[in-house]
Amino acid sequence: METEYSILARQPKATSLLGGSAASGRVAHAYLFEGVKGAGKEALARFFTQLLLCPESAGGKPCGVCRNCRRIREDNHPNVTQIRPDGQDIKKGQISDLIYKLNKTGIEDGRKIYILHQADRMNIAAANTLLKFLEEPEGEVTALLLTDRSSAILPTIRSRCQEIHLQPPPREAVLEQLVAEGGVTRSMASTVTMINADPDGALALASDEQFGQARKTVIKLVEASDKSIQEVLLFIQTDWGPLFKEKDETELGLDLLLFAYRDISAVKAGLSTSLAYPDNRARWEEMALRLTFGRLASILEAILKAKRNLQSNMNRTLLMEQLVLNMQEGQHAL
Amino acid sequence: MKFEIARDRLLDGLNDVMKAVSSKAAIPILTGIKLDVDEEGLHLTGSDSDITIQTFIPAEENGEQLIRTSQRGSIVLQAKYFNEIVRKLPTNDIEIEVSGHLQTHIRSGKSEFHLIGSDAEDYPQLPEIDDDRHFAIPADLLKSIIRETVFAVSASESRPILTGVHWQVQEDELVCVATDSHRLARRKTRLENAPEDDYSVVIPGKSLQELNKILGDSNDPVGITMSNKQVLFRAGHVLFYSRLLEGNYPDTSRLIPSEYKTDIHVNGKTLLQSIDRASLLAREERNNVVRFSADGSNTVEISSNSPEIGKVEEQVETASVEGEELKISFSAKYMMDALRAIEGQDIVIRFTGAMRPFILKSAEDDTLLQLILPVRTY
Repeated sequence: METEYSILARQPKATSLLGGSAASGRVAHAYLFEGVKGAGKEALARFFTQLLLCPESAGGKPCGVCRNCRRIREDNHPNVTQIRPDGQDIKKGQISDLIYKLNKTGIEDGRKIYILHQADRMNIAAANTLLKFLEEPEGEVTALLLTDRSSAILPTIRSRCQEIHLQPPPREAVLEQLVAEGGVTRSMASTVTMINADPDGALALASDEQFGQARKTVIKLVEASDKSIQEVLLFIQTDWGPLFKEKDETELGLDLLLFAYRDISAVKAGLSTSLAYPDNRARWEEMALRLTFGRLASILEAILKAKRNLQSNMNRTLLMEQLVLNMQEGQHAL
Repeated sequence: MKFEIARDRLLDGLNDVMKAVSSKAAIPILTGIKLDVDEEGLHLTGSDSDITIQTFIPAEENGEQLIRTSQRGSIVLQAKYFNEIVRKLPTNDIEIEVSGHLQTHIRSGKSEFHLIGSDAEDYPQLPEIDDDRHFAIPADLLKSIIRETVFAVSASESRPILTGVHWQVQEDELVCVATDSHRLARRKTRLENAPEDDYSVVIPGKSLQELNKILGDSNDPVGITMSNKQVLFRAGHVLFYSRLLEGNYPDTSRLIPSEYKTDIHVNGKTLLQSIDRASLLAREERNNVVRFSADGSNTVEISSNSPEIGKVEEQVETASVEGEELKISFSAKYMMDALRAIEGQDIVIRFTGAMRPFILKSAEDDTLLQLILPVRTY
């Protein structure tokens, strides 16, 4: 029960807005919940679903114990449909099936609700199939689209949804909580809160052995990138490759790398933001002396470009080799 | 919950409800079968969310005790395992007991299974059905109504409403219409005990096909109750619920021509076989088109021509040809579907022109009408 209602405290603006529209009976056809990973989009979707279907909701929140609330929590409510990406993206077939299903009357009374997780992963065909239904569904239907990249949603879809922005959880507070309650070291807590803003998710990450290994390897790569290019390429083959095999692992690796250079930039600029790797401050300071802002900018750009290429399924070994070559560019010219 | 039951009766009941359980259930609870037992007997419920089948096994039947209930209660058990377990139990006496936290014990002879159930409260609630407002149709008639209309529903989901059959009750008559916008089937049935209110629902074609499999070939009455969410068919101890399609069914009455220019009386079986032969060469061509021409004599010509393959021509004797001469092309598949649906030997085909829809019906009765749109050829 705890986790369910923490969303009220974490997203007071969004919950009171949704609570108000549910109470007044003015529920939109579609909502777009947008917020960073860990901001509680899924919890908010569940909260709103319960609110709409709970017969005993009061004061803008569902009772949480009735039959409907319990079944929504256990994914067993017949009027609620969840769609997640099937492999790479949400496909057209999934959306047509969904529309066909929602064209039938509900098994039970009340509103029908469908939740599209990672709605930005809908491919173009799927999004276009959904368009018309999104706006003019048959019967009482509400769509909840969840995304952490609202810019990747087609503007035609976005304009048909009521957008709800979720506040990112305050990183400092989560960090303190992890150190105090989770027994996580401050340096590790700093890193994981950059990756996942949700306290539970961050804690799980912090206690993951593989993540610890990943963090070490990324720091090593930053150090190695100062050395000769042959050594860096060797490092990619021997250390990086075996650890970051899958696509999402590589994405995590690139994120960690990005945060490392973000730290160096912050140190060089003398900003007081809290670092992702506070334990490496001395090393960052040393590197900051040697790198110009121009170099740092081009390195950050190279990493962001690699992240984009990763999404278009580039060969991952080639991707990493290209990245380190790009990062080294300009170094020897100096 | 605790009761004893005869295995063969439980298996019969499971056979019925298993037809509704799908391995690709929309929500986890629907992979299970719900059991509700009280002193009256045992209710079994299975569902794939589109259709729901419920069957009832009475505690006593013909003076024979089928179920001995010690404690009433409800539980949901995994359909796949429960069905297999019951099928393979060693003796005909089964004892099912739920103790503690959803722990279900199934005992028979010297074997005992422990199965972890789910809370029956989580199972979707079936709509309350108001029994006063139902009407009844004999099972065999209902089967033929389904057979005569359901084939014409649209296979494409782009217009969901057309994947269903429109059932309308008005003025003591049940009118069932199915169309995929190229052809239409309409069946009218006079009701003896029609309800006072008018009804209009669209039942998914797939649900009707499932219903057709469950109904027996007897003339036992099947009770039909319509609500705005679901339709319920009640055959003996089996209840069959189906969800409905939402939206308004298009008005089809204006599609049916009111006057005709050419009437042809023909033996349906002969025509069907001839069209079937002609379609052999039409198959490769798009739309399966065959040509039909009546030139005023008592025979009509069926032909088909695929330039790369060859051609076929056949003269079919008719009982009579009245009205204008006619040359028309149509889909052989639609024509054969329509001819198969019409019972009886003598068929009337009525045309209004080469570019207008034409209708087929039995010469003896007007209840069933099949309409087909012609294909434009050059």
